Amino acid sequence: MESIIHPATVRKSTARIPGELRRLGILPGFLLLGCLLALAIIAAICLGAYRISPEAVWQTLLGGDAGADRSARVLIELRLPRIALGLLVGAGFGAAGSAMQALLRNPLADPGLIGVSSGAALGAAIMIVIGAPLLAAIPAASAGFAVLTPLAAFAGALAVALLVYRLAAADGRVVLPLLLLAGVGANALAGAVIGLLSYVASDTQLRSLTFWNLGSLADANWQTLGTITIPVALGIAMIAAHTRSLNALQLGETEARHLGVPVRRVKHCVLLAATLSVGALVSCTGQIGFIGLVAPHCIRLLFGPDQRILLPGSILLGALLVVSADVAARTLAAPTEIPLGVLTALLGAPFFMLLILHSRRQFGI
Amino acid sequence: MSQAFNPTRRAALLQSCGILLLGIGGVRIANAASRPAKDAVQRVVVVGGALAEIVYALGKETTLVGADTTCTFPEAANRLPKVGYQRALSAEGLLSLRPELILTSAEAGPPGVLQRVADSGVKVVRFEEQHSMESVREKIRGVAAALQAQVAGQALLRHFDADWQQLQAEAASRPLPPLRALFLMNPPGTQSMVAGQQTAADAMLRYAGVSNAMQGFTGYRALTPEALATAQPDIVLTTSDALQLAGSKAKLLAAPGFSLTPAGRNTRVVALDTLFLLGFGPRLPAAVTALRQGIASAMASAA
Amino acid sequence: MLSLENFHLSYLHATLFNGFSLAVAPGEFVMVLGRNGVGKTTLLRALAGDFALEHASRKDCRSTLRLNGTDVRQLGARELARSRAVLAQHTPNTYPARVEEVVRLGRYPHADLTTPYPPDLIVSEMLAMADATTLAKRDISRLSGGEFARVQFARALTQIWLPAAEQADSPRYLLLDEPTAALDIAQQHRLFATVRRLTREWNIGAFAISHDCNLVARYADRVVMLAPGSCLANGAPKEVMTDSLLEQCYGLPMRLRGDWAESIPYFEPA
Repeated sequence: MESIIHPATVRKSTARIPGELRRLGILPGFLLLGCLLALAIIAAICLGAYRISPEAVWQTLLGGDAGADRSARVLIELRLPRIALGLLVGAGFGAAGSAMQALLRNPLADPGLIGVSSGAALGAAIMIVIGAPLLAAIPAASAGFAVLTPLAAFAGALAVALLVYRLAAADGRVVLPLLLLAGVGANALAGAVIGLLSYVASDTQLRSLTFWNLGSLADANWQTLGTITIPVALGIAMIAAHTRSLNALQLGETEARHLGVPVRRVKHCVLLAATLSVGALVSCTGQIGFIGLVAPHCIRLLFGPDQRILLPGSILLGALLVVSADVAARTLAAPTEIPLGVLTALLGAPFFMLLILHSRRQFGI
Repeated sequence: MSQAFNPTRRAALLQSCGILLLGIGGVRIANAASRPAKDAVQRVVVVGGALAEIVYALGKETTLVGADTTCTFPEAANRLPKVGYQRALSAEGLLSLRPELILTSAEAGPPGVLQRVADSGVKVVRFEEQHSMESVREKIRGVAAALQAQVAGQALLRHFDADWQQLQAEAASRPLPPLRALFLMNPPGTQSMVAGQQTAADAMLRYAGVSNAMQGFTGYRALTPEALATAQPDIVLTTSDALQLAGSKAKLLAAPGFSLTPAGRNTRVVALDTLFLLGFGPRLPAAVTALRQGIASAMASAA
Repeated sequence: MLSLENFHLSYLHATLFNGFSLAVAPGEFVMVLGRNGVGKTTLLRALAGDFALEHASRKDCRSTLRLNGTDVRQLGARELARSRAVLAQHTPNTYPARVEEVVRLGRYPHADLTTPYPPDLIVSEMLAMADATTLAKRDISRLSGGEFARVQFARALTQIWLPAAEQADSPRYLLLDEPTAALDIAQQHRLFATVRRLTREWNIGAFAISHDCNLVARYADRVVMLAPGSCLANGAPKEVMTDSLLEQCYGLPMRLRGDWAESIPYFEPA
């Protein structure tokens, strides 16, 4: 046979082949996700405890005399940064989750697994319980306390992720099953230290700790957003640059290497990207779980495991979940607020379970 | 001490850290330079039970448009729109009530939320809490000033001072015997928290003339049976909510360790309403009196 | 030429290879025989560059691997992958991907090259060559062992496919670790026949591990017989596939039925 490609050999059969893997169409699926996200954003802009008429919203967004009117300030200084942070959280967690699940070839992997989230919580806890009383002696430092806690959280995220990495790597070679185990160990240790810190914490400190552990978008403001957008965007871009390599890694590390994948570099890049984006996010929202696990998993069940689809899909679905959960958190019990973490799980989990029910056949039952 | 969030964030930060550091007492009236202060405020949200009591006592309850869940006295305060628990406020939720002024306790938060609210032009006045009679006087003075009800404030202060002097005279003439009391935050079961130093309960025990059986730690801690046996409280003080949850005084003291203490052996329990007992509002003299009477009668009936 | 030179490997104080050298030339089909655990897969991994590239710093493992005369350490992983494909014995197939998606991964090292040949066409052509066209839309986690082996074969072919005009200038290599283990008898012959044909048509060198002397005798251009720590024989099948050498190789008396002079003999235990 000549090795010239004959277009005629491509069979376009329309008949259903037994055992064919059927999936949702990518174009209609993404259109649907995009429309839902747009709807969620519009709802998030218009709805809230503070009543603002759609016309007022429209005028403010068109650049009316903002600043003078209180509803304009509520919109621009409270709602919009919150929506932007929600989008960023959903996108960052979705992207990091899809990359971690691919890298570890484990559908249950979560960005928190490498210790980023618990490390951030640990950093914040150390700052609140030990750092703050020490710094209170220095007038200049206590002024920056609001900035120092997120910074400490970010440092904690990097430190714990680095520890997990050191445990699982030698000569720059990361042993992934070891990474999983090291992550479990580091998470347990961080949890224990946080427990110890909350035991010695004063009443006020305990309150800050609890608020931090629950996770919330309430602290969103344009200044913080400006700062964290950089690491989050960088992280997502780094993951996006490795989608094809992550696809090849699904066949196993050896196969991927034989395919020419620079396996070490991919592992390092993806771990660094997940640490950067998730670390930056949790350092200003506290711990928001579930998104990084559920968004990529749902997209994989709907559209298949191709990272080039999975990554944008997870970003879209993550953003959709966080923004709509936050709308619910802000409006359902207005003027009070329901903790966001509760609602992301409440919204995501049934959807997740429905998909599992539909995909049972894939697992042989 | 009260403190205002200035519309300019930097100034507010500098102010706040300066004030926190110096820890000076005394009332700082909110910086109202940005708004004309001539006409009295019409829409007020109050966060913290003691502050709500003061607003009602000053007769300014018509200005209230919202309150947090700790505002339970007087009865009418329960019917105000609720902004949630004082420690978990929502910026937009607060603003949705369109307040001109927010009066908050020291516990109100999260800090970022209050900062955000202040940034959007609402005057936020926060009251420090020292768990002392002087704290209550400062709250009264501060709320009266913020609501521009100085005359009513003076009257309330005079009334409060008179009550307090009467209480002091009574306490001096009929002191309680030296007793060790334990404050139990919640019914024993999962984890009962007891009050150490620098708590409202500790201050109340001191005002009542008895000593706190739990020494050596600040804030609230989980109670262990052995620590309980070591502390040897003569009497247990708790909130009426906790007693109701436990079912009865005997059930409240059924947890291990209590049987080894005088309080447990004689079932000596005093329960008072949470806000009344720990609120440090204008009813403080009445609360101390009620606590003294409760302790005296518990000791008498069990003896 | 894909040449492994001076291969040393010791593992847990046992020396598996000590100064072993082997070369595979384009246009030739080399097959290796040897008992279990003698190091056939290790040798294949050495030829694939696993040791030369990954464990360069290890003392107990040294080798030089040259691809068409160039030390692979001077080539990137991607450049090496364009010229040699590996079909491993065990590859995880537990995640729900489509067959055509997995085969298309073979084009990974070529992604940055501009070529007028659409990858989809190459994939379907290679699927046809591996007799796996009907599997294209199937879920790999639902395939039988033999079906998945054919898919993997198609992926390996996809990796080293080149347009006919460029084949003469760039020799490529195909390393197969027991590719027929899960196949039925017809597919076994089909696969090795395809490999042998492609060595001629595509200008590739093939190296395969097999336990079937009859298949080896029929398709190999050269047979390498491994004994622990050394090479027992290396030559054309009719020269080295004698009953005495085979008995040494497997430790089992073997008998040849027929004669190399007339046709391909049949091998069976004596």
